[in-house]
Amino acid sequence: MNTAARSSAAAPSGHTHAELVLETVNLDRTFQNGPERIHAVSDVSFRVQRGEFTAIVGPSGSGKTTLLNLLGGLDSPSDGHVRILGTDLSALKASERVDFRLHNIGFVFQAYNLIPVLSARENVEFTMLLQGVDASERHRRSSELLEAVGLSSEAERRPTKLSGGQQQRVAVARALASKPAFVLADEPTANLDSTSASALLDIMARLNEREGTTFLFSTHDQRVIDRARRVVTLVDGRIDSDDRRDPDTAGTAKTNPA
Amino acid sequence: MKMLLTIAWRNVWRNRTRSLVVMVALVLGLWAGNFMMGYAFGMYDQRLANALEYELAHAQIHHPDFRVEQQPELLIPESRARLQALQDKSGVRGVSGRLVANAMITASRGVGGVQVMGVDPEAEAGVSRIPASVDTGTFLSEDKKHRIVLGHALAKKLRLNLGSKVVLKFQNAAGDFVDTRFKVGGIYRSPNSTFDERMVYVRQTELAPLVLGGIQNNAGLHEIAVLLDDPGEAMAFAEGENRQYPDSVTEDWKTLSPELDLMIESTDQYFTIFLGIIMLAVAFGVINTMLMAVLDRVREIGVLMALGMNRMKVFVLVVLETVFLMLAAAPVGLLLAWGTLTWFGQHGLDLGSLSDAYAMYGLDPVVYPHLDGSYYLRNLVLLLITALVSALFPAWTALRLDPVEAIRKI
Repeated sequence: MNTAARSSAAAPSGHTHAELVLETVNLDRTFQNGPERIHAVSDVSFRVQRGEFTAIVGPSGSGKTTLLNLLGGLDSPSDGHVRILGTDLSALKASERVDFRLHNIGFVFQAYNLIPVLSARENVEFTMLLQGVDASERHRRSSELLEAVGLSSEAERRPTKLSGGQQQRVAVARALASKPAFVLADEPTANLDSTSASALLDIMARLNEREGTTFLFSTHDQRVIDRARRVVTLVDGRIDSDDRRDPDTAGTAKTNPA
Repeated sequence: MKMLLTIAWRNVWRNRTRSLVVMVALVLGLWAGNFMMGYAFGMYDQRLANALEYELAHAQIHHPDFRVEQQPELLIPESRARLQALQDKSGVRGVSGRLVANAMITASRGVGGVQVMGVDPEAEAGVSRIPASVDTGTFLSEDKKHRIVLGHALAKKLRLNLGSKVVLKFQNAAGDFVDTRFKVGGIYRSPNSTFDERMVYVRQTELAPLVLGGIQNNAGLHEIAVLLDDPGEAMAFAEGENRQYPDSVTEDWKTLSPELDLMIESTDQYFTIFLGIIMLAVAFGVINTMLMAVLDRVREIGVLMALGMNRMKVFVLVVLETVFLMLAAAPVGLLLAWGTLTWFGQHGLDLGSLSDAYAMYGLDPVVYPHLDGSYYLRNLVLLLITALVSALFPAWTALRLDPVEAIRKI
């Protein structure tokens, strides 16, 4: 295990007695590609506490997306454990993992991936519907979230009628709708222009600061890295460094090698 | 469930062209299935009606050996008393006593084998539509002696016209060959050209002395044709008569013409197979369309799974889309089938150039299709099952998607 990573992840700045929402222990993910065995993620151990705003960075092929898939319970590790709010995902059956994901993890995808046949509001309400939240509560929360992402006036529009930035903001609102323990965002700004990316980051930072929403990004977008208060760097599937920044100095912190 | 219904319904209309194509296939499948069945029922019901009304009646009575041996002396015991008893019997609409002789007919232009029916014209009109089908001349009028009525097919074959002379040659009850001359007094046209070519009618009083040669005072009968008020009672009637008169044989139309019964019975099976072929085509259409719909949306399905939709709901979603396609198409298909069957049921479907071929089998050239409501329902259920079964493979394909792989799909 990367000791530097472990020690630096002890407690997020600005939060005392923070709740541990995510923990990985010696996480490994290997793929067989013909005779070749590829270690996409190797011996990754780190902790994320409530309210963190973390960027997982690294060059292409460093294992960011694979790690996010493991953290989101979409993929199973070859070895090691992922614990979310104390629950070991490996101990869950596939159907239990789907249900766990529904209640505890929010997803934001690079390509937005809104359901095209549903309006912005319906997309936001989608996970709540799966959770069985009643209609009035769904409506209240979707209105609240759409307002938070600045899209109240676009609530009844379908994704095809929204810009990329608007779609990604709807995706953020959707990710938060189920009141997850944390939100996983895979390259959330990769498809956005700088204005839209900046607006999206403002929204996510505000949600993080005001409501304590925990965000975990994979990115190699410097704009996102600059806004992150913790940067975990992956190289060849291993944690190379794990740096924390003070909220006031985020964007200026130097990288500590592991 | 409401969410699944909403997504499924909107998904149906995402690719309108594709959905419309499969809906058209479902509409045509339902229409074709119903229409072909209605057409078959119309055709075979008409064939059955024709066979009963022109050829068989509902039941016939014979000497026990007559139908096999066809000998002139094999008469129904106490024929006239039996005929009288039947005329008085309740449930009997008409009876006609007949003499039957196999004969050679000779005309100036040809020779042929025929079956001569010696009938009482008035009684025959009560059980058969042949007398009413004479469109040239009359059916054995009282005032003209030694007249023969034959079908157009035979007239054409032997080049006979009204008034043409023919000679009938047959064997009488004593075993002697008898020649007698007749003049064509009428020509009929039945829906069955084979029947028209074979059956000729003469007055019973003229045929009896020639064929019977004095047996039963020339009053005996080879055959009594019975028309009942209720055709469905034919079998019960025959059983009752056979119990009461063990020295003769009464047979209902199904026994008299087993091939007719077989034809009717097999119609249902034949067209069920036909319907099966239609459904198979529909099934492949649905499988193709729904599989394309699934494969076009791999990433979206992956996202649904990632967000927390379980596999069963994904499965149900794809099946629901198929059900919606079916439900949108079914009313149109049913309405189209009902509309065309009703219209052709009233106006008839003229087979035109095929009519001569159909007439050889006793089928009307104009078919009036019809279909019971239960068949519409049956075909609808069959289509629903077909669509549902067809949706299973695409739904299973969706079910097996790995969200990680699926989300990566562009």
